[in-house]
Amino acid sequence: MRERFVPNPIFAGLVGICPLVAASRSLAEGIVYGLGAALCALLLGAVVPATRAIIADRLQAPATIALSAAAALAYASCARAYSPPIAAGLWIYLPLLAVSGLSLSTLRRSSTPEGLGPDGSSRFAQVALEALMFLLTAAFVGGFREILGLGTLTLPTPGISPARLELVDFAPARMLVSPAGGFILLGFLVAAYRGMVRARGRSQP
Amino acid sequence: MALDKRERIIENLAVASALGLLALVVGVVSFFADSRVAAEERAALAPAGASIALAGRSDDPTFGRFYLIQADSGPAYAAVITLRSAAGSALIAARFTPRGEVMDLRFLGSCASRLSQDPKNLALDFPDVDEVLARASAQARYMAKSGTEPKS
Amino acid sequence: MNLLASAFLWTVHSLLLSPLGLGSLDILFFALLAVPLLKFVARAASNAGDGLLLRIGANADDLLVGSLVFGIALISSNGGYALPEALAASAASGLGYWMATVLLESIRERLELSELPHPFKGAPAMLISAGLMALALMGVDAAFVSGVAV
Repeated sequence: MRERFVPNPIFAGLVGICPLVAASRSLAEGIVYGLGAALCALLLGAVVPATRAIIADRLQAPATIALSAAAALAYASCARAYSPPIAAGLWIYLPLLAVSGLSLSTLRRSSTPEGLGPDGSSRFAQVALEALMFLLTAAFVGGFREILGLGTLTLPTPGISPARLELVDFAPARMLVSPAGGFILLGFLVAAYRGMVRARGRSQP
Repeated sequence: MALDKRERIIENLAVASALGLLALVVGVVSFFADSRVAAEERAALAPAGASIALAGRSDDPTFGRFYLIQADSGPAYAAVITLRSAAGSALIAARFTPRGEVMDLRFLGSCASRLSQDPKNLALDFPDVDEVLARASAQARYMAKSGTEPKS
Repeated sequence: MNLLASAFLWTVHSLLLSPLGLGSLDILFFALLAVPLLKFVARAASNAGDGLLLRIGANADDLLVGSLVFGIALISSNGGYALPEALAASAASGLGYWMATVLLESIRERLELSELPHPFKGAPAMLISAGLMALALMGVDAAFVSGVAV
């Protein structure tokens, strides 16, 4: 009986994508958030393996988390200077880049001693590819949600008033802009991707 | 043993110094970014021909800086207020009299929202806008009373 | 863990960072100070107890460095909450997370036994279920909780 009420830790992984779903409400927010996560991951991927030789094992974890937090804070300040409304829309999700799923997976990957992945590519190349895919995913999800949800497309232009393209003069499905709608849309997108891959006859992810 | 202990202490101090340096770098970046934001706010708030100066700062998360505008119509306090809700986010320019009354609201920009540009409809998308404006009014009143001028 | 983290960060933010004008560096200090402290508490929990405490202590290590704990701590410190409000918010968010994961696990078990189209099996069905649950909670929030607050 007690076991039933202790949550399965697998769902902690689902918690990790919450910031992506909550932050990417528009194309502009998706790009800014995705770019921030990518830059933090690239910085961690470059610096953490180099510090493994310098910093003692017991100090690795706090030092690397602090580096991740510093990178996230610096990026948040730059985003606020670039476009205050986009930064305001991203709210606490910019500082939370410190513990985004991408940053944490980069930290875990970088803390292993192996320099090469199983396919022979360098670890940094893997991190860079993951970062690029995250940026593209955040931008795609954000743009898709904004088009279907609000019928507009906000571009990540600098200044106090980001440029906006109004594609239709009404909001088709406003719910999609909310986090609940984001989860639902993400579920359908993953299912659509699987359907496409299956139709081409490749193995499922 | 003593050498191990000393090495550990030196190690800890070295990492602490490095992290302090990191905090300093972040602080410097924040400072320059903040200056840039302040310059944009001044440009957005000041009407043509009026002088604008920083009147004070606030800890409120929705408005950071208050400015004193000296225009032909008289002195006023102004701030850029950030609103955020499930509908999206918006920046509005608000001007207050020294008594804390709202003189006007002007829509500056927004992200991920389909707002009407009319500030009278803000409450539809941002339910807490009245509370935020009340806090900003109180701040303007406080600044007018505790600042050098204008007083009323 | 949420309560501890929120209380700790609120204290650091209000008594140390805000007076010194370093409020924007809160997450950096949180990472430096709170994460090792809370990891120690989690390890103590897993060493001290067996069964439930052991499982909580083992899982807390993973949940700690995640957006839930950091997020609610940031909301409390940046939202101008008083200490009781911060503690209430962190306790409520922890309870909400627990409720959501328990419900999602039940839903997952049922979905595994259901005949779903192949593309929807696994993660897509879970995401859509999570979205529908979030939608229901949004309705509860708008209908009941907001009314209570006003």
